[in-house]
Amino acid sequence: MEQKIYSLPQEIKEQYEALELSGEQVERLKQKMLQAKSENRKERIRRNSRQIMATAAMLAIILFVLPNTSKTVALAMQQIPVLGDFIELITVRDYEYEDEQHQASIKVGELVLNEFADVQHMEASVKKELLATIKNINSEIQKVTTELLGDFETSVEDREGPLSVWTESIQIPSEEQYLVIKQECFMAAGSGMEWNYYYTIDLTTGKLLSLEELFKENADYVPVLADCIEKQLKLVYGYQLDEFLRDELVRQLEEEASFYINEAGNIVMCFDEGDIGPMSLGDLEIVISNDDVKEIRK
Amino acid sequence: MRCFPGKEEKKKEQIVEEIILKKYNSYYRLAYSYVHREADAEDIVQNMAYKALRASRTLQHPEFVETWLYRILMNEIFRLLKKPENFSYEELIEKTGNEGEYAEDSYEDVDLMQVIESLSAKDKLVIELRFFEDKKLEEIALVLEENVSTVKSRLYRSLKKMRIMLED
Repeated sequence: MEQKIYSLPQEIKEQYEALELSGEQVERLKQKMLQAKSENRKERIRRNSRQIMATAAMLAIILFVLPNTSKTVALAMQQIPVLGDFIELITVRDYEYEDEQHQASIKVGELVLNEFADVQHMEASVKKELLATIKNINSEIQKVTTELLGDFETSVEDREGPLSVWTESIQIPSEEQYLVIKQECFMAAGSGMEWNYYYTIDLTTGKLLSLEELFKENADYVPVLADCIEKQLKLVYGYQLDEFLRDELVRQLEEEASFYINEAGNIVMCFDEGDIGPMSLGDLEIVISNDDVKEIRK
Repeated sequence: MRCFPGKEEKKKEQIVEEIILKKYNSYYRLAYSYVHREADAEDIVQNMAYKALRASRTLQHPEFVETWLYRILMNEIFRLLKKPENFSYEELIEKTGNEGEYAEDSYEDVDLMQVIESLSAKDKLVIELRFFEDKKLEEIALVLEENVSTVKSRLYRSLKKMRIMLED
């Protein structure tokens, strides 16, 4: 009965559904969403810092410490996300702490080869590179998180003022060819700041991907990327780079800029708070439109 | 155990983000069907996404997030339509004598689309959500903040009106 009354021609629905946002419009939407997320993050940091101060008057006991350094246990306990076919990210340490003035949540990830993955078709040289790359990334994550934890423990022992630290290893969705790991770090002592480390592995070579490799040989990609970033900072954040920061941006692109490849194959340039603009912009992830680099990208 | 307050918020933010990324074309189509200008429809979807993400921590019932997003979308649509510089589609046709440079619709079944256009904003929303977005009456009722029987009446009345207009 309902079907008989409630129906419109299928063609009209198909015509309606044919209307879609263009790739460029989708990129603009994503940038706007990033802006909202960045503003949320800044707000969270501000609130978190205030909350630590408020908590000081109420709590005086260590609530829990849960270090976990056993890989076997970690493997058994983890919900393991499968990265590509070959690699898994497991949490080898999950440390939580809270007292009247301090909070910590430290989750240390480690990349391991998936023991069930079929790696027979993988060339021996690629597998060797992959193992070496994984080892380097794991070592860096260990170093970063150990330092952060060390600073935190010293602060607790010395009964220093309020401090909040948080770090976690996460996977960022990417194209099949790549595997992207991000180590998010956050520290608040009065005011807070967030910074991140990005690792993009090219699964076809087993090597850590460099920005330069994404472009054709001798392509002058730095000014192209700098223009895209400058344009988006103005468009999305209403922020105009001055000459000094433009030079700083170029320097970072030449020497140390973080990046990853997103699911759509776009290069995403990443900057920590204050890297190329005021701290109020927060950390930035700027998606470079494929159209903007199509002439120079491999 | 007290978690970092930001974690729960991040989860909600993620839920909102995932749905927007999955459904942005639906939001765009719905917005476009009201404003008939690509740039305006894009602005509406962008504003909706921005406001929803900024407000995501206030989300009490994540299971109703889709409905919540549609409500934000409709607010954005009506907010834009109320702006003095925006005149209705019908006014535009009247002003220019034709669909002009703003009308970029490519619907071939013009009669039926024009009939849908002629409905009131809320009736039109009921028709579009029901038939184009396959929403249940209960979900539409939540978007419109009306009870299901009212939505049902709107649907019957609109279909009847549409049939009469098409027969004329």
